[in-house]
Amino acid sequence: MLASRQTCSLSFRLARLSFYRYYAKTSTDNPSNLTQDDIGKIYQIPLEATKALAFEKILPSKFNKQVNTMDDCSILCRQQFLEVINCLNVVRPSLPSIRVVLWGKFGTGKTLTLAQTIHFAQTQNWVIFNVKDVMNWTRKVKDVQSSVYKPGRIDLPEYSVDFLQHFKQQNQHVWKTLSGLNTERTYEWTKVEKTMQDRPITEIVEMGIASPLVANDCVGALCRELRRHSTSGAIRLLVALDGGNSLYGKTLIKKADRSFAVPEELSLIYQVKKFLKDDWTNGLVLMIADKREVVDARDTLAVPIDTPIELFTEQGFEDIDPFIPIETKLYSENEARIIHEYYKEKNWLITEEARSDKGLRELHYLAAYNPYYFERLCAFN
Amino acid sequence: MSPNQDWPSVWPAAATYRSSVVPLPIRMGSRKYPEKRAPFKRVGNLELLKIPNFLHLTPEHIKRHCEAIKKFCTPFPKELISDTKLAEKLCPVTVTYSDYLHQGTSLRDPRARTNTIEVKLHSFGFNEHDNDKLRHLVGNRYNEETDTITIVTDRCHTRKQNRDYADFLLTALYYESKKLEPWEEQKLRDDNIKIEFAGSKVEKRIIKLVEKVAESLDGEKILPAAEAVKNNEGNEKAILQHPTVKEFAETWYNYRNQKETPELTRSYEERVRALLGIKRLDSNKEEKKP
Repeated sequence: MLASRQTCSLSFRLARLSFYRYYAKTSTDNPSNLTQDDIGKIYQIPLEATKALAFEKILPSKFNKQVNTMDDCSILCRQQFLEVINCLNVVRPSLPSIRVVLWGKFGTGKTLTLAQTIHFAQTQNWVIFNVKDVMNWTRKVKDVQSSVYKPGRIDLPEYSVDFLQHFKQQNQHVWKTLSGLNTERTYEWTKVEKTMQDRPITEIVEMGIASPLVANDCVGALCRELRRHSTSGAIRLLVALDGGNSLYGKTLIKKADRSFAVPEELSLIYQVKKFLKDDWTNGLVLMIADKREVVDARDTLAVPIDTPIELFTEQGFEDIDPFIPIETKLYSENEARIIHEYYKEKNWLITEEARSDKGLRELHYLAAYNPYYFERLCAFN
Repeated sequence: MSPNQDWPSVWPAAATYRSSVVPLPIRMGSRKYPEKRAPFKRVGNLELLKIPNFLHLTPEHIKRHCEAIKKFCTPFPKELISDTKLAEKLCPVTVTYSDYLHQGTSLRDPRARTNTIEVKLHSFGFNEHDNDKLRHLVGNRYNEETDTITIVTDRCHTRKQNRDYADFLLTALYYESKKLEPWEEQKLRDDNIKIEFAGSKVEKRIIKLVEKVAESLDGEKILPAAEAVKNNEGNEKAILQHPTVKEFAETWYNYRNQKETPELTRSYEERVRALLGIKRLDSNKEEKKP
């Protein structure tokens, strides 16, 4: 019934017996129960969770397509994910917020680890403050508005509304808890619209979604309230910023005098930067150091590196210091083999050559153990 | 001419070529068909007159010059060659220049006028302020690894002028670094050559962090440095003296002041983990293995 040539080792025979699969699976699908022994094995995130957490907007595009094609979201459990969970478990009301930065080469799983962490946070009923990509805010210019609250700052209404909708979607699992938390003071958005004191903070979110002109100020108020309630111990807050180093990069937003704005001048970025201070507890800020911010296709001489200071700049480094830099690495031989087995099982690999051991060794060398290129090569073979 | 003639007496100094005196069979000149007719003979040859000749510098000449000067010289001290430290102490300044020889009508080469002066910074015998000021004045002419200041001068026309200019520069640098100007007290932290841990944002943050955690009941379990606070009634110095904070400060200094590499980032990660009390999962695994 099952092809016997490929599976010779004991672990695979056992896997075949218990799960009728070639690839090794972790002991549980629940990320909070994963241990060191589960490293190098695949676990599944249920599709309802991926839809609830808006994964199709967070995950890298190629992996997204894979999830849609295979109809299951199977992610390899790697060392970096367990390190992040370890940091998450340390969070408590007496300890100021911990800052974690994921750094590493291109294609090694930074965004994917962030997605895994968001799913973990959901299972543990954390509040998730996820920015899909800070670089969109700075580089992809949509409508721009001058801030009413603080003259000189620039509002991004469309992105604010988009972010609040995303926040609402991702936090459905704790929406009741959030509705139970109250505002500290009255917020007067405009002369007519206000949110009174002691109203649930979910009203701020609804107000922002309904009225784009006020949305940016709503984001700021939301940040403030979340920090306050997190410090009091009512909720645990995970701030996940993909492209976190774009907080300290360059923008393409032009001011009235035709010069480019500095990220500090964007109110969204200014509000998010407040999470990097020490005045709140019971939370974790997870950032990704993305090389895209620094890389310029037209500059053929500069060679940027993947390390945090280079990508966050000295000023950014001083803001986040001390933080824990977690490195994402290339595949080990075992990990690459597991992924290969998974693709074989799902009939993702078409040619007989690719499915063989020799093919696997070729893929090792062609992809140079880089997870992204490994997947791309498997997709075309 | 006799073959045993004394050439140094015949041609004692630099002179234009004279075919009647030089016994060598030389030919020089370009011909339309060189295979048919050899270049022009030496007698009455203008080309031979135009080029520089070194007939006044044959090995015999050099030998006699050396013999004449020898009684005024002493041998070069062997100790200075064998012991570099002694040489540095006694002759700290090294001057390098080059001579160039051309196969052409002109002896001149513009590169011959450059002088390179090299001095080690510690041979000045400066205190900290003077050292720092000299480094600011000299800029990227100072190499930190070899502790050398290199000054290259070629803006004047002659070598001597350039050498005098370089000497002037050294003197000026020396006296300027010794001076303390009134505006120097406005120096900011940003003007320092190295980023110091003392007085940095991190230091303040760590102190605040430890003080905050120490207020809670099980502070020492979370943050090792919190025990310093518990023992010493919240003294800032006590926190900074704690080994995890000290080691962190060292690694942080290296990380900020050297060229960033993945290895340095990993060592920084280790120290932050030790400071915050969050260990790597790997390290536990390695300890368990026999």
